[in-house]
This record gives sequence, C-alpha cells and structure tokens, in this order.
Amino acid sequence: MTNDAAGGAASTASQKSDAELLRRVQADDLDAFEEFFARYRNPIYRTAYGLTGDRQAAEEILQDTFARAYRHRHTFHDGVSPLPWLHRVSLNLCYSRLSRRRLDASPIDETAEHTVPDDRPLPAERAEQSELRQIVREGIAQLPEKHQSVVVLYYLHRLSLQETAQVLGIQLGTVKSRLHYALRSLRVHLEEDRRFGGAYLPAGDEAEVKAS
Amino acid sequence: MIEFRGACARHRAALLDFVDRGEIVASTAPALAHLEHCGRCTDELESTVLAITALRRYGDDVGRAEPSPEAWPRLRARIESLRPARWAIMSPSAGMVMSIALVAVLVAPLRLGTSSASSSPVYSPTTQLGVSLEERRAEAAYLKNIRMGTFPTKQPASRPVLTFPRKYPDNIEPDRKEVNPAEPSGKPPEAI
Repeated sequence: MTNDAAGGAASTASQKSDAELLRRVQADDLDAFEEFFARYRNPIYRTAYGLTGDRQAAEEILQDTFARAYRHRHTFHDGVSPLPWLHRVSLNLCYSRLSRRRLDASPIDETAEHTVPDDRPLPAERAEQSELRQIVREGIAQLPEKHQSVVVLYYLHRLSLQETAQVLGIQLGTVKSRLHYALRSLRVHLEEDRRFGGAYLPAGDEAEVKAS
Repeated sequence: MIEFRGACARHRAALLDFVDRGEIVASTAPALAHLEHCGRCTDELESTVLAITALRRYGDDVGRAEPSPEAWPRLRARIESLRPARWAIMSPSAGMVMSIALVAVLVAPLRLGTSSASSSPVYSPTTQLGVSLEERRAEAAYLKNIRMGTFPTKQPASRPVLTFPRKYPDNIEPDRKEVNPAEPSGKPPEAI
C-alpha cells in the first residue's frame, strides 16, 4: 500500500470517535486523556525517536508534547484530527532539543539494540543493521530542519504527501521539492560514508569500498 | 533522439516520483526513455533508490519502537501536578468573589430594611412619626423634670405644643382617661 493510499484511509467512524474523544478530553476527563495518549503516543514517539535517535530524548519529547496538548486541549476542534498539531509540536520540540545539544550518534546503537526487536540471530548482521541506522540517522541529522521534518514524516513515519503537507502547513509541491533536495543530500552523504556498504551497495561498488 | 543540455535535470523529478511512489504521469515515459541512454542519470537514480531503501528500512526500525510503559503514569502525575497549580491561581479571585457574595447576602436584608419602612420590623420613630429634633428635646426635658420632681405645672408659652400623631394598630383607639397636667394627682410619678 502506498503512503497516499494509507493516508486517505481515514474513515468517518474514526473521525466520529476522534470527535467524541476530544469532547471528553476538553471536559477535563482524565480517563479520556489517557485514551487520547494511548491513541497518539506511538506516532509522536516515533517521530521524536527518528529525529533524535535517542530513546530518552524521545520519551521527554513525548511527555512535553502531551503536556502541551493537555494545556491546549480547548483549542482542538471537533472533526479535525489533533495528530498534525501533535506532530508540529513534537517536531518543534525536537528542533529545540537538537539545537540546544547536538546529540551524539551513539545512543541510536545502544537504545535501538534494547528497544527495537531484532529477529535476526547473527550478531554480524545485527551490527551491520545497527551501523546502517546510525549512518542514516547521521544523514538525516545533517539535513536542514525543514528537510528533516519532511523526510521523517514521509519516509520514517509513512505519512502521505498530502498529510505531510498538512502537518507542516506547506504546499504539496513544496513537500515534493523538499523531498527531492533531501534525497539528493542524503544520497551524497551515504555515498561518501565508507560504512554504507553491505546490502545497500551494488556488488561492484562494494568491492571498491572494501579496497579503498 | 537528440537530448539538449539540462534534459537530465528535467527528467529527475519524474524519475524520482516513479521510483519513490510509482507515479506514472505524462512525463514518466520520456524520463524512462532518457534513462536508457544516460549513464549519469542511471547511476544517480540507483543511489537514490538505495537511499530511499535505507530510509525505509530505518523507518521500519523506528516504527517498531514504542514508548516505555511508564510514559502514561509519568504524564498523569505531571498533569495532576498542573491541576492544583491551576486552582491555586484561581483561588484568590474565587475567594474574593465568594467573600463579596457572602457579605452581600448578609448585609442585603438590613440595607433593604431602611429603604422600605413599612415592611421592616425595625422601629424607627424619627422617620416613621416625623418627630422633629425640637420635639425630641422637649420630650427629653419633660422626662428629666419628672425624674427630678420639678414637673412644670404649665408649659411655657414659648415652647411649641407637642403634637404627636397617634397611630394605633387597626385604627382602634383605646379607652383612656386624659389627665389634666395642671391638676397633679399627688401620686409619685411612675417610672417609665
């Protein structure tokens, strides 16, 4: 299923339940807010985790995002999903955190080993996968913020182009343009990184990388 | 087929849409035709596909990550700590409003009583009977004379005649014998 197809699948039933949940949240029903948190915590956590690569930082961003959501719960509108708002807040919090302290790439190795289940038994393959995550995250981290957000939402979070545009409040064409430039930068970054080998390089190129 | 300079850049967007999202539009076929004889675009597209694959694989890993089970208890504690703070901000104003309301409730009947004399149980002879200050003085002097035993046999001419309006409930006047003050009974005055 493509991103666009997945994005367009928001049913009326879920919108209704969203509206009902929001009404209860706005009435200061803490149980409803727990349900609200359970419904939206994963996408927000993954966005934060994808950008920071740090589980602890992602947890804190998750907390901050939903604390803000609680404070601003009266600004949510019926019939409008709060997810774009939550994404925007979490992205801004990520940028604030990253600009305060450029996170080291090492946490992604350690935390991913513990938090992300890995079915592959071979340690060598796990190490390769872990290294790949680190390279990709470094590649994302060196992108400009506006490109980072597009890449995280579209590729890591699998939002559609339309949803990405909605979350970021930009035009569809701008999303495409940013994706284009972000991919070009990432491609150059990955090509320059000597660790980027294994399954991600053509057979001929892999030999060249090893030789160099 | 003759390709002009800048054709590679022109086809890149269409090629990217094709490999990334499988979009086939009018510009896709010319872009693919260009790809067949452009080694540079082929290499570039190949590395772009690898980057996309790497991104998607990273996305798969990130997509399996979940927050810790302690996330909600922590957030709940934080939210509950926000709630008393909110009440603490509201309490001074709420308390003031409550105090004003309480005072108003307690004071309102008294204030209403002075404005509507007929419905008030409070006796106020000055306002009800229209007795002037001069009449009150004369009354006080009369009482003083009685206590001192110097009750005047006759009122001085200069003093005004006291005319107290008589008001009795249901306009029933009691049977009462008027005593002429000029002829004292000889009995000691009774305490009023």
